[in-house]
Amino acid sequence: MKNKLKFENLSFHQGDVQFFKVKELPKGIKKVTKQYIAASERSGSFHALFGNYDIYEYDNGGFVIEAHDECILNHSLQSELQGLGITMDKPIVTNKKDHRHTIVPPGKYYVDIQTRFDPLENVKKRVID
Amino acid sequence: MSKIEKLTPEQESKLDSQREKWLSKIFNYEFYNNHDSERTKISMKKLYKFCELDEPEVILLDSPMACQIEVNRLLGNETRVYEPFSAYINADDTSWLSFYEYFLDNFDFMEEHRENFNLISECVENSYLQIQMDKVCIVSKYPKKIMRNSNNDLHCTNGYAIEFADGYGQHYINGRFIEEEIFNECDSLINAKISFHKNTNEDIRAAIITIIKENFGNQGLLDMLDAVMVDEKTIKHNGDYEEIVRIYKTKTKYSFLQNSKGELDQPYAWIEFTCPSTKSVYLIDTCPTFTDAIECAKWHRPNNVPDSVDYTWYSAN
Repeated sequence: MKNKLKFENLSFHQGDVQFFKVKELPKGIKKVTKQYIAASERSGSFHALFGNYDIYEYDNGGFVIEAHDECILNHSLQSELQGLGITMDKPIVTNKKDHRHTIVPPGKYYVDIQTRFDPLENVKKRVID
Repeated sequence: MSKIEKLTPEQESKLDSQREKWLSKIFNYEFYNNHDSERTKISMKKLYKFCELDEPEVILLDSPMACQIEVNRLLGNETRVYEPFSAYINADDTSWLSFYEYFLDNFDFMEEHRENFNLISECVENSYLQIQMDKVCIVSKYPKKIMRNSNNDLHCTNGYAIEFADGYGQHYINGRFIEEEIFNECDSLINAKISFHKNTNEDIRAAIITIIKENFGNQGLLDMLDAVMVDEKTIKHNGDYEEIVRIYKTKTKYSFLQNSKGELDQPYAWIEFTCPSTKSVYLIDTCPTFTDAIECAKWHRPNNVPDSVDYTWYSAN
């Protein structure tokens, strides 16, 4: 995808999930339902944003997020949420798995995963955990 | 009766000792050392009665694994399946027991609940985990060894991080479970090197690196990788957070490895990051052409982030 994002110098990360503040939402992006930003099959953990925000797909696996209010980025176990009726609509802090929760100020962000280089294929890939 | 809105300084001063008292029961092995089999059986039978259930046979075992083996035997399972442990009456309950005990001991409005509290407390102090079934209750005793890091996460690089009386245990590195086979491969630098290269999961690789660093030192890590350090940079981020980023590459070149320009006959190269939350050290495969750790760190951000964006974290968890 051609780089349509205009970045501001404000970024933060929670483990391998990285947030970069952008000036505006790129045109033509598709809004999707709230979902985990990343999930680990091995550990059963997830990174997800909780609160009042819209989320859009970007570049085959990444997202653009518009946080309307202060939101909370949590890293927790999926089993912690099951059967508790917890949704991602409220800015709650869930039980931490490995990473402390992050307070995400209102704004627009490009969100994606840290990358690694595969020297066998000469390609950058998202890291796996 | 009036609602408590605020604790007095005197009441507040007792909170730390209350917390330490209950943590000590598990982490100083008071529950393990003071285990009373007869009391466990009596209290669990009382609890079933309290819940208006038939009196159970209480089976006491040394570990959660022993409980799983026993429950599968009782159920007649030919192939062993995981049977969930009960959500209540286990080590997790110590947090709320500590909370309510504090109010029982320091205020007079809960006295009517003391007997029930004591019953639950007696059950929990002899049950690390349990499987509650009709007429049978299978109870695991507390662990005899728990090792943690400075973050209080389960952590041990030279043995089990949690171990039970029957020898069953589990390995954790900075709070993350590690399979026994992978842990044992870290006994030697050669086996650790093979394991590091064959695993693609970064958490597993981070565990291997952490074990090697703690047991063999930084030189051991370089020996394992047959590598030299190319660059090291300390980066000051927002607030007090400082990050050290290093890049390494092997002394040997390999005909089948490429750099990002597609040129073959390259060394392996890695960039080292340390997780600010777990302190786990990650060695991420990188392009061997980098000589500056910050430029390399920038390159490992998602593909759409240009180099013009500073490598400075406003917040890092």
